[in-house]
Amino acid sequence: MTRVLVAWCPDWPVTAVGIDAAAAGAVVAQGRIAACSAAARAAGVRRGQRLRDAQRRCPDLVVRDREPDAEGRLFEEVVAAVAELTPRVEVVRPGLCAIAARGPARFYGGEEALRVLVQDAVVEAGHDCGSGVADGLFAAELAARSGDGGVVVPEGGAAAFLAPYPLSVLDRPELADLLRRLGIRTLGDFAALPSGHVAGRFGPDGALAHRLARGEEPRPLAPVRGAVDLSVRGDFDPPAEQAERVVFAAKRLAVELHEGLAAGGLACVRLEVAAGFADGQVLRRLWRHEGLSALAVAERVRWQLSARQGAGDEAVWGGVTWLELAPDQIVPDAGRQESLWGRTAVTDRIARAADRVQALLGHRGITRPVLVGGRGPGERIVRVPVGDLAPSGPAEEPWPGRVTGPAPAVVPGAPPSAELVDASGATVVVSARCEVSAPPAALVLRGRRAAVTGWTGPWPADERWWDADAARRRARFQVTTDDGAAYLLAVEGGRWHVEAVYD
Amino acid sequence: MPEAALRELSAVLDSAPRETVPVLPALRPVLPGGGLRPGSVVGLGGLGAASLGLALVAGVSRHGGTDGTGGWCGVVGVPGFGVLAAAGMGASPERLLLVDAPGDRWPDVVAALAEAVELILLCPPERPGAAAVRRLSALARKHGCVLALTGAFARDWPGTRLRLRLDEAAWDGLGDGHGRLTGRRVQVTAEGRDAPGAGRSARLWLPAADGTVRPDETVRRPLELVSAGGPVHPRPSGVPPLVRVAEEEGIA
Repeated sequence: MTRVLVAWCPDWPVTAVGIDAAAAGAVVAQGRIAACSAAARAAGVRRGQRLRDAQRRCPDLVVRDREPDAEGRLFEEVVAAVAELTPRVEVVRPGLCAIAARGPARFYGGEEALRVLVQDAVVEAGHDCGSGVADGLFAAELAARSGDGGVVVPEGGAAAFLAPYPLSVLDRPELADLLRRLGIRTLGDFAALPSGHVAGRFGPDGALAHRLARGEEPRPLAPVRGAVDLSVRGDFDPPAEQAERVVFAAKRLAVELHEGLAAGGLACVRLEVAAGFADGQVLRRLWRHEGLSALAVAERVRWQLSARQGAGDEAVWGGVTWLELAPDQIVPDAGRQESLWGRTAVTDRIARAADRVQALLGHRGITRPVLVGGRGPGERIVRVPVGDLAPSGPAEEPWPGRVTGPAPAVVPGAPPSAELVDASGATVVVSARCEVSAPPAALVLRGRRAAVTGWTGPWPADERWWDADAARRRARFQVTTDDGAAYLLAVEGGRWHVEAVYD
Repeated sequence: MPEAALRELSAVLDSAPRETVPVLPALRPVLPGGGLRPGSVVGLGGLGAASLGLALVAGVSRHGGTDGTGGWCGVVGVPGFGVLAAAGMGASPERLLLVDAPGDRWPDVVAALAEAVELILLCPPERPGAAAVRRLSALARKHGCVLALTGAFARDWPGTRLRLRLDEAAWDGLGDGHGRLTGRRVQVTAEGRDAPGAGRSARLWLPAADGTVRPDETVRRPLELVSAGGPVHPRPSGVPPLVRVAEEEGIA
């Protein structure tokens, strides 16, 4: 049985979004409380509560959206503090990390000494922390949470330590509910059941929970070496006025970066290029890397600089004072399989052009259309920036009320407003029962009036009525005018606009 | 004699099918050579310019090229580009690159794309300057990329040798309060130095009821006058027509 030390930072999601530990605060995910601070808990806020209920119990609750990225980033500080004591740290999840306790405990003079040392190190790094030592990760986590700042559970005492805990700590609500109805309320009761019967009745997941409850290990620790900073940086003194000088240095830095990556058998998916200017501005951009040569990296630096040069004039330029290349998303270098027959050459050609346009206009400047599901012609297209993953939407499901027939040739992003009037000059209105007040006679668009030669509608579309913010209720019409044009019009809240033009 | 041989050779070269940028089959009769000349500039104007742009993009994007790597199109400065309609005409949306708002960097964007794609549908947001026109025309010629111009400034591009427009457009399917748009009959006309004279034209469904582009055969083409100079199908006199006998081919 491995001895495991767990360092646990309470309410980590709340800490990560910057809510003060003393204040009543909570983070929400999908409208429910994901975590809350101790003060909020004292006021009756609980995990999984609806935000509304939480705010009723604690009116001055500070609420933030959950930020998993920030949680992971900030937790690096804690991991670094623990890694000062012992190098191999496993991050179980942001807020919880574990180390194998046997070796360090011998070195630092006992498990209790190690526990206090780890706790102090994390508190010194500026975060509240509990730490516990026990047999196995599960017991160690509970040991870290118990008492005032955690306890050391003696070797072989895990089952006894776990016995009084309720079944909810297993984090298996369905199993806990079933066991409760069978009259089993604590881990001790559950552990007392014969394991063969548990496996027969509750399946492999139940057997795993049973092993946990008995203080046995479901899996061994898998510590990884802390990430090494592989980024490279070059300074310019005096500031580099010409892009050439920066690009030349970039080539050298790229070689250095690639050597660093290759030494660890690593490759990076993306590369962040940051250039600092004399006027204090920093220009950062992520580039796809995936096996670029040093020359290609230098070329991307040039594009990035040229975008800046083109945007402002030379006076703002001021010169580059430093340049940093940082690998992002490091993966083991498994080698790349070049495809045959020049396909790579072409994708390279397109990717190069797209990268150049993105350097000019920003990441969202050049997009690829993806067909998705929807009713209106504008809703069925999503524009995805080149390099991003396309959404996998329900494309083929039936969309009752979708506009059929040939698709319109012009679909403006922001539909221009229009006026559809009847013979007497009054605006055509559609009643709640989808009755048209009078046949339309003329369409006024950008001040120009055209007689209506044919029309059809209304085609009502009442969408997302369950969501007050996104709800849309409109009626569509197709209209042809005497100048040969055809339009898809929509009336929403009494106002007409041109949703698309059949040009 | 060498002059005559040269003339003969040049005639042969002219009539030989050149490498062209493909278009939709329905548009082939309209375009000289049955396709777009690589590196040429095409002007689209008037009512229906958007549909013509879609049709040109669809024609290129429909084919992946001989090795499955071509058929990329760029659309610059046309935020309302009807991707769905282009897909209906046969375009592959995964081979489209859209730059909706190039702003005043549009010449640089077109220059970057011209090296990579086969056709760029461009709506210049301003009157193109002489330097930009020279630079982009030269780049397009060099890389064999077709520039299709649309919008208010499409006519201000010198050196446009081919212009396409729609005439006699009539929508089908809409009644007085009933029906739905099912298709449009148009006459597509090509004019300019590449289509000399009164130009070439064809009657098309643009779009047809299923969103594609196809020839409109419901209206008979007007009869053409044929010169009375000789027989329409001259046959060498005295030579009997070759008739193959079934026994000789060993079938019977």
